[in-house]
Amino acid sequence: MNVDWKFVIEAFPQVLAYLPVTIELTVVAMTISLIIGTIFAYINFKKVKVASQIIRTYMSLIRGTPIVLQIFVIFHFGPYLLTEMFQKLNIQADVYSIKPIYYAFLALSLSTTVSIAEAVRAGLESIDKGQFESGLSVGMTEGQVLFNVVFPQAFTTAWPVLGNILVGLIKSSSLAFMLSVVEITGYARILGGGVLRYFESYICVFFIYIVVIKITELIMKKLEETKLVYRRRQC
Amino acid sequence: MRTINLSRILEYFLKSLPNLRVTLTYVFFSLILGFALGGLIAKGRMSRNKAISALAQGYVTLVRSTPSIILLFLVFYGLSAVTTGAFNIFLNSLPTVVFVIITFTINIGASSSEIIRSAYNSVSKGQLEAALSVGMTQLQAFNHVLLPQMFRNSIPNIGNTIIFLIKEGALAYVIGLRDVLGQAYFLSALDMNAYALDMCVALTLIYWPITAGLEKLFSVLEKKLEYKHVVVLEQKT
Amino acid sequence: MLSVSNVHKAFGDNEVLKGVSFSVEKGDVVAILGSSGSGKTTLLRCLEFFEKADQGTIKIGETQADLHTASRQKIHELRQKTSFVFQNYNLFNNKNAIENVELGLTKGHGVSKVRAKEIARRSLEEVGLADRFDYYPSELSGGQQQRVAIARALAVEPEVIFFDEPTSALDPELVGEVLETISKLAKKGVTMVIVTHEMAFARDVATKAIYMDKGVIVEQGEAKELFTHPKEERTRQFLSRFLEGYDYVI
Repeated sequence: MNVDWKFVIEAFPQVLAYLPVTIELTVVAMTISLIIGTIFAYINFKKVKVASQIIRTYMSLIRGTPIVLQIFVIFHFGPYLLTEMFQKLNIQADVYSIKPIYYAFLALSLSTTVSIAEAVRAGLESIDKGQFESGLSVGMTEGQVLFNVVFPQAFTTAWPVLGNILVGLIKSSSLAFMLSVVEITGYARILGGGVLRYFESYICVFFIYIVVIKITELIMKKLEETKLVYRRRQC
Repeated sequence: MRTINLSRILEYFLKSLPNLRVTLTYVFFSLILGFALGGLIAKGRMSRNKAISALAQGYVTLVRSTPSIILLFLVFYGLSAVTTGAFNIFLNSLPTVVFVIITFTINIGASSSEIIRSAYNSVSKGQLEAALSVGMTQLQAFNHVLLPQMFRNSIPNIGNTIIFLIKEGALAYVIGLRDVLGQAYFLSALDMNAYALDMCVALTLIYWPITAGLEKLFSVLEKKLEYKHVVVLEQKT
Repeated sequence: MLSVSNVHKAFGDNEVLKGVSFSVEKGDVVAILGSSGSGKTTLLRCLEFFEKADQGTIKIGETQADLHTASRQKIHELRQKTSFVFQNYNLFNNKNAIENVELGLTKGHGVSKVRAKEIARRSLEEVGLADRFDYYPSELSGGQQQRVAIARALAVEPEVIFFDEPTSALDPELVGEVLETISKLAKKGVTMVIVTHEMAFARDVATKAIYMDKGVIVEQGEAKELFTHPKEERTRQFLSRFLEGYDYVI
C-alpha cells in the first residue's frame, strides 16, 4: 500500500473549507433552474406554438451533448458573447472582471433546467383537468388556480425526481473546476498537484460528496414526509 | 471578432469522427462488464444474508454519491498508488481507455443493479411459479422465462445507460483520453484554442445526432419487442 | 335571473346542442333530464365556459355574454356569479376539507382569511361535515367528498349553482346523503340547475323540469306538471321508462 493516510487527514479540513463554494454553486444553479425549468414545463404543457417548439429543440440539444461540451462553449464563447452584448447595449463594463463562478452558475443551469422542465411537465400532466375546472368554478383566475392548486400538486408528484436532480447537480458541480472555479474538487486538484498526492486529495473529496449527498437525501425525505401530508395519507 | 468558419468546422468534424471508435470501445466494455457486475450486486441486494445485502447496498450508495470525475480520478491515480513495484510499471503502460472502462464498470455496476432489480420485480412472481410447475429447473426458468421478459422491460433503461456513457465518458479528456471530444480538444489545443468555437460546433454535430438517434431507436425497439402476435406472411417463391 | 338562449355546440361532425334556450328565476330548482348523450352535461359545461359553445348567449343578473366570443374578463366575471358541482367531485387534492372551501372565498372572491374560515365552517356544518374539517379528500368517502364540494360551491354565495350529475359516481348507498343535502339547499331557496338521472329526486325537489333529447329541449315547465301530465309523447315514454319502479316513493 502506497497511500499516505496522514496526508489525507491533514488535507481533509483544507478541502472541506471549500465546501461553501460547492454549496453556493448548487443552490444558485438549482434556483435558476427551478424558475426557468418550471416556466419551460408550463409552456410545453400548454403547447404554446412557437415557444414550445424552440424549448423542445433546446432541450434535445442539451440532452444530446456532453456537459463537458456545454462547459467548453461557455468557457470559450461566454466572454465573447457578453462583450458583444455590452457593446450593443453601451454598458461600460469589463467582461474579464466577471468572476468565473458566474459562468459556472450558467453552465450548471443549462442541463439542470432541462431535467427540471421534464420532471415538472410530467407532474403537470399527472393532474386531472377537473382540478383546474373546479378552481375556475369558484371564481379563481387561471393564475390563482395554477399557484394554489396545480403547481403544489405537480411539485409533490415530481418531488422524488427533483431530489435526484438536486443530487445530480451536486455531483455536476465538481466540473466547475474546468471554468477555474475553486470548489472542493478544484481545490483538491490544486492541493494534489502541488505535492503529487492526487489520490489522497481526491479521497477527501470523495468522502465529502458522500456525506453531503446523504444529508441532502435525508432532508428531501424529511420534507416529503412533513410538508406534503396529503400524499402520505393517501396510501 | 471571431466568426464561425464552415470549412474549419468540417475539418474538426472529419478529424474527430474516426475517434468514435474509442468512444464505442469504452461504451461497449463498460456496458457489458457494468451489467455483469450489476447482476452480481442485484443478486447480493436480494440475498437473504443480511451482511451481503448490506454490502451490496453500501456499494450502490457509495458509487451513486460519487461524481464520475472523482471516480475517474480515483481510479486513474489510485490504481498506481495502491499497487507497488513491478506491477506499477505494467499499470503505467496501460492505455488510457482501460481506466475509463474500469471507472464506468464501477459506475454502471451500481446503476444497472437498480435496473436489473426493478426489471426482476416487474416480472410477476406467477411467471416463475408457472415455469417451475411445468418442470423447469430454477436456472431454466430464469433463462427461458424471466430473463427475456426482464430484458424487454429494461430496454429503455439500457438505452439511457448507453447514451449516458457516450456523454459522460467525454469527461475522460482530462486524463488524456482521445475519444471524439478528447480528440477535438487535442486538435483545438494545437491551434491554441483560437478556433474553439468551431470545435464546439463540430462536436455538437457529432454528439447530438448520435444521441438523439439512439433515443429514437430505443423507443422504436421498445415498441417492436412488445409481446404480441405478429402476422408472418408466407413467402411466395 | 339566469337566461340562456340559442346554445349550439358540435364536436367535429357531431352536433350535441342544437339551439337550447331556457331561463331560471331566483329560488328555482331546475332539473335537466334526458338519457345519456342528450347533451345535458355539455350544456352545463358550456354555461360555465368549460366548453366553448359555437353560438349562444348567457345572462346572469345584469351581466350578459356571448358563449362563443366572451373575453377572459367576462368569463371570469360570470364564473364569480356561479359555481359548479362536478360528477367526480374534483376537490383540490392538496387541500383539506376546510381549505377546499376557503380557497374559492379568499382567492376567487377576495374574502379575508378570518371571514373565509368562518364561512367555510358554517358551510361544512350545513352539509353535515362538522367533524371532518381537517380531512384530506383522499381520506373522505365519495359522499363526503361530494358534500364538501357542495359546501365549496355554496360558500361563495353564487346566484346559481350548477350540478353535473352529482350522484352518478357514487356507490348506491352514498347517494342518499348527497341528495338529502341538495334537498336542504332547495328548501332554503338556493337557485340550482341540476343535471340528474335520479328521477324520483327530481320530481320531489325540482320546481321546474327540462327534458332534453338529441340536443334540443323537448319539453319544459313546472316540474309537477311535467312529471304528471307530460305534453309530448317522447317525454311520456322517457318518464314511464324511468318512473315505473319508483311509484311507491313519495
